[in-house]
Amino acid sequence: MTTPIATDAMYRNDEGMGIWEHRGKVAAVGVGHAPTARRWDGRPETCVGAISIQALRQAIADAGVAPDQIDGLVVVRETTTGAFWEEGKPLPMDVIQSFQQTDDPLDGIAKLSAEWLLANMPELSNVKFTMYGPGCMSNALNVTAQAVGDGLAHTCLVVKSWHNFEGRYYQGGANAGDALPGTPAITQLWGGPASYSTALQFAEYCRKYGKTHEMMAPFMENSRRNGLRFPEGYWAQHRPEELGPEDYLASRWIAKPANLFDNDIPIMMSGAYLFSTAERAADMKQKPVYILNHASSNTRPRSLLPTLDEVEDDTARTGRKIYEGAGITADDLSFENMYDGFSLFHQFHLEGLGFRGIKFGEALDFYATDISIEGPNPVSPSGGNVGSGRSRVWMHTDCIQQLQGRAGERQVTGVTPEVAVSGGPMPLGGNFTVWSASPD
Amino acid sequence: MAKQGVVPDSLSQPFWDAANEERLVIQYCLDCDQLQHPPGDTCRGCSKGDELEWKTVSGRGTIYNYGVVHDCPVRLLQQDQPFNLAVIMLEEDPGIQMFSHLPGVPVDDVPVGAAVEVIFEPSANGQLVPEWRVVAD
Amino acid sequence: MQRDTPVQAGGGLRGKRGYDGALVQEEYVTVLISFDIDGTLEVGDPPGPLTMDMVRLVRDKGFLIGSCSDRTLSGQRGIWATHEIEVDFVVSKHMLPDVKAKFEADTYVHIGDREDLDRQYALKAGFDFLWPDEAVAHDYFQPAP
Ligand SMILES: [Zn+2]
Repeated sequence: MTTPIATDAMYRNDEGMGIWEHRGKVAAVGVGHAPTARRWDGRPETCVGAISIQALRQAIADAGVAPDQIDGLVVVRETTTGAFWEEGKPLPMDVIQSFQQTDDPLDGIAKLSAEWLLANMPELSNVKFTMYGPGCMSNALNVTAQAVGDGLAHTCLVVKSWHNFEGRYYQGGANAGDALPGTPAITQLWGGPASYSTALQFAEYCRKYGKTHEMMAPFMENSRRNGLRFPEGYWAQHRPEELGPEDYLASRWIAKPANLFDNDIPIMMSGAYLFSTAERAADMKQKPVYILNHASSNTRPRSLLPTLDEVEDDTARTGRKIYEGAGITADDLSFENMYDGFSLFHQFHLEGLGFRGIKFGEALDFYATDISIEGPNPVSPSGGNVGSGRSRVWMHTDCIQQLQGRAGERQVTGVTPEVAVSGGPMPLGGNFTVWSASPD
Repeated sequence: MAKQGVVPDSLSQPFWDAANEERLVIQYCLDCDQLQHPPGDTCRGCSKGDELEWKTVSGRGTIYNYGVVHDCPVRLLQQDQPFNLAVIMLEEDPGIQMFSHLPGVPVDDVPVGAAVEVIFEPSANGQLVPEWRVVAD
Repeated sequence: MQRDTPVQAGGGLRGKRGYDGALVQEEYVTVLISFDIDGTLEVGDPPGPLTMDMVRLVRDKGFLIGSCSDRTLSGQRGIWATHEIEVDFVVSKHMLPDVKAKFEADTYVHIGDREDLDRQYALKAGFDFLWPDEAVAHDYFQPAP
């Protein structure tokens, strides 16, 4: 079996598509997370494949489903945080020999195929449907929801994992060389770090609306506070450090106006969910969380970087798609839980959603109000990547757990958790899922 | 600033050849009557490949936006940190952007909106690279 | 925990040696040491070779000490408080020039494990620089005779 990459048919990219045909008929039930680490320590039991198996088994157990009842598996094949296995570096044979290997020796170490997972999880004996959702869990969730809705699988796992090796982020490879091929040179010769594009959008935003970088501090503090209540997260597990305004504002610039903490910390992690049809989900161990819609944006910038106009057009359009297909409005959102890695674009997502009536240019002022999990307007109750490290998964886990009423110390108390949306990554081009405690 | 050298590939060869002649050329789709940058094998507007050609532009523009790079992933540029990294909008089409280190402009003192003109600077292997300098009013 | 007031002339003895290497004279000098944390101190992530006892040793010698790390300021203070070591400063990576401006010393040293974030920042700020392994072997961290 060769696993295909999801085609356009799996996504809802356009406005005017109406209510999602499977609204309320697909549910998320089980959640699984492997322990996080800053970097891979080289042991077989902590390689990206091993932690993926761990997360998947936990999601299965969490849902209380027999593994042979699972017939689908959606995987994000890419696992890099920016760290690559250097060319010429000897392969870790002890790790490779600890698993059933595919014909790619770095499978399970620096990437993850569905075939590798199935070979190393013999209990998944009835999986007949596999598919790749590229890049992010946000994407793979759209694929999973659509697949279950379309009947390609009735009980489907979805997993996203990350590997991080020694060395500094993105500093190897072409960036360490003396020359670049001509086409990438056109964009890369100038040396913008990963957060540069977002930093520029934020700079334009601040100029347009008269805002400042300091105004991000309450959001950052709130996000880390929530993250420290996420027992699956990196900061909670390894370095339970707060991120107060002094901490945030004293940190060094990476690409001003983006500082160190505006960049999420790359980690080893794996997150997995078990989805099923609403009927089957009803008999599982956890309360089903129903999918009301999924929506995507495949908008690209006209030239090198998205302008603020392009960003605002697209986040507004994304908001309309989310609401249209789910048959809800912004008023239905119990809390806000969009992506935040980089933190400086979180306000674009929030404003595009129009959460609590917020318009363009207003989010940073909103951050200065009560955005805590105890208040009436929780912002990023998951804490996101700021709160728990780079995974692009926390907001999804949090939406599911909040609506199941088992978010623990993160549980929102100022609102009743009924409907939520999560997704990302970037404001231009992302995938979003609408979750509901009830199928209607 | 010493940029990495450039080894032109088939797609980018006309861009870099023109740069060595101190001309700025941008990909242009005849069908869409639109400039396109960065270049591609096909037009991002109409998906056609055979309607693309290269058009010489004036080399005039304005500074649209900028950031200051303090932690650069490119090793060769790290010695110059912190440095300005601006985005230029072309006079012919403000939707077309180009990067610039804005030689001569003090760090974090960038006149957003100011007029600039293209210049060409040698990279590590001698390939000339388009850069931009502020035009005195 | 951070010392309330900068210690005036925290310091140590600098030996001057004669032609034959014998110690002929000692003078009182002030040394300021800035410690990176991750990859440098034993409590770092990853752990480095400098033990907290070594830090206490230079502390007891009267050196001015503190940390300079990508960790949050509150996180750095937390580490020192946990180990009950009083420090003179905690700063972010780019703030060594502020340390130099604030404290008067004869010698400023930064110890860290990164070429870009430690060595280059240190040299730019006018600090001497030691890699953690060099530091461990340095006279600073040997018990006073
Ligand atoms: Zn065209």
